[in-house]
Amino acid sequence: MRLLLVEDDENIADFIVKGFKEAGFAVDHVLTAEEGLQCAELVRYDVAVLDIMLPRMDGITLLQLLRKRTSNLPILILSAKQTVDERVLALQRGADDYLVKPFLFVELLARVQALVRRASGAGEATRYVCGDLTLDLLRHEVMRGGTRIDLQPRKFALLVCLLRNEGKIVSKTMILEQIWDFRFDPQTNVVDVLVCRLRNKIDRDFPVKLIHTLRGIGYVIKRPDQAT
Amino acid sequence: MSSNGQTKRLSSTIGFRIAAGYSLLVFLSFLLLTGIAYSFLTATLTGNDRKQVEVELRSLRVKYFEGGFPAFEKAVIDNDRYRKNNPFFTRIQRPGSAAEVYFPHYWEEFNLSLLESGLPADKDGWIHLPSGTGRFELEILNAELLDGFRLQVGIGTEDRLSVFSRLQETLLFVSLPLLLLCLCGGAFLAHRSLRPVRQLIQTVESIHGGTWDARAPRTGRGDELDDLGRLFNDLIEKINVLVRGMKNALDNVAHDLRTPMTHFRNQAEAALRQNAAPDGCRQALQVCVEESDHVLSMLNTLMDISEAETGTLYLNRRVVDFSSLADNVAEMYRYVAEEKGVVLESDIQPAVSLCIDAERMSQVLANLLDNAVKYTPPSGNILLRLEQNSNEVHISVADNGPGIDAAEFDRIWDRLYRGRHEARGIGLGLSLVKAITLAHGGEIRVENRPDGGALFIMSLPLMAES
Repeated sequence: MRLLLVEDDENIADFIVKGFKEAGFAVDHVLTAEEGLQCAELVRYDVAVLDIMLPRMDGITLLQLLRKRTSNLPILILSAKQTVDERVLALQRGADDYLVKPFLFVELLARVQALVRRASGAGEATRYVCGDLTLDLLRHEVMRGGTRIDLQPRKFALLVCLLRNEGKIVSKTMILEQIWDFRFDPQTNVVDVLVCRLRNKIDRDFPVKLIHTLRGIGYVIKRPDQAT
Repeated sequence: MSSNGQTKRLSSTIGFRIAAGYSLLVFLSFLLLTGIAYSFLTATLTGNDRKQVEVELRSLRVKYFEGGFPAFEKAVIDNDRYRKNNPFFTRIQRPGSAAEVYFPHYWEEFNLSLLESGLPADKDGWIHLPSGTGRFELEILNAELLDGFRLQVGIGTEDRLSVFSRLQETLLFVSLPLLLLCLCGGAFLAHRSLRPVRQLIQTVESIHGGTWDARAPRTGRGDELDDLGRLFNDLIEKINVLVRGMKNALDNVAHDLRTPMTHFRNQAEAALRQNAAPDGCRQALQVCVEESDHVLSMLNTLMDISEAETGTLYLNRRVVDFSSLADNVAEMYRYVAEEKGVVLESDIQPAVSLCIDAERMSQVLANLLDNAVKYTPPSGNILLRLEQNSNEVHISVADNGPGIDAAEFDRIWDRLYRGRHEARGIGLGLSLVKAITLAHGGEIRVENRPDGGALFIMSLPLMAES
């Protein structure tokens, strides 16, 4: 996996580069949009992460230029909270996803991986397995240790969201976005409530717990022997 | 008048300019009027003198034609005898003999021999003979009689000129005090009419110096400067309220930031002191992340509110199914409500479409429901209702919590205002609700239900304002 990062803030860039390298990405980091454009012409990238606020040429312009050249390069925009809603503009101009600074790295990683997965054309799995838990999307069925578990649609959706990122952390923001399509912080513990209910269904009666909480970061579903 | 401790030049003050302009104008008008009067007077006096000369010349001529030279001479001598002061100069020239001036002792100031050489006449036929001193002159008119006789009659300008010079002296004598009077009057008027302006400047300076309760004194006359004073006072009052509000808000923000930041710091410090224990460090880091998220979300909300209030909030409006949006939010909060033992019911009219920013409007509904869940005691219930009439969509959230104190009705929308019963939260939710509702061209109000609890009613126009 080769990732292009255009970010002029060295601190943030270091943090991102380090994270992606740990996750097995090859990362090319440049400071300006012009350099980013040159790199994109020389190398075939699997995904690009662009900051909006850049010296001289801004991220939106770079985004448009990249779109013209390589129409299928997945691009994620990083934006700071601005008075004019740049995020919407970025999506209109062809970004595949955006993330507002400051962000959790796990969230950036998850979003980038999702973009790569979507771009590589790998079809969505229809069946997920995690330890003795299985979820069948087509039959809308959840089994644990041979017992069928009935789940409400939201809980089912939450479980799919966790399983799709098996072994990886899913942040509260991602859950809010994927389950309720909320791209804002409702300042409430609804995610905790929903996760708690899902646990009651799939973990409470079983000695081996699959769903784990990472305080302050999010949740992860994994086999007992699996590392995060 | 001074500004920045530097004394202004007198000439740069408005008072001075008004006074100088006023006195100059009055003085110039005086000069113009007296000038016109003076030239009119001189023209009249000169005209009168000349007319007399012409009349005398004509009558002497008539005498000459009627009775010849003897009659003429008799008339000249009679004239001198019967008139107390004979003003006329009479000279006659007969062919073949020297010119003769009657009563030459009257005209000793003049060098009469100059007339022999024949002085040129001006375009009206007048000959001007200057006196020996040159201060006045003799104005003479010619007449040709029969047989080569030539008659000259003139008049001295001394009397006339002395009137003129007396007049000039008087005018000069009057103009100096008049100029002084104009200056004083102008200065007085300028000083008086600019008094409110000076008071305003003093007020601004004392406000600049930190005395925020200084106000411009009012004259009560209702003129422009009084209006200016009133407007200025109103403006300062408004600024005062805003500044006080901002100061309070800042104090509150500082307080609200201090709590999580202190917690944040304490955790980090404790973790550093522990030295080992990766589990302890891990736990401390988790708290740090949580607290920093808290601070960030608070800052984001504050920015949203100020954007919405200053009108710079970007609304990504499109037509959405408002009913399903409301359903979605209600469904989400139902989990939170159930957790607290509160029943959240909804009565949502299906298929209501509105052109709104879906994300922001979800946030509004979420904040209203969050507020309701927060204040409703266990086993209470909440009702979210959405209905559409001919030109508006009404959304109401009713709870059966403690309701709202009469004193708090207006304040609950204030930024960082926290009701007496508020358990958690940062007091920004409702101000964001109000700001976003207003940005959508809607309205929101709150009342207490007759059977207890609060009722929030929001109205959104069906036709979105472009």
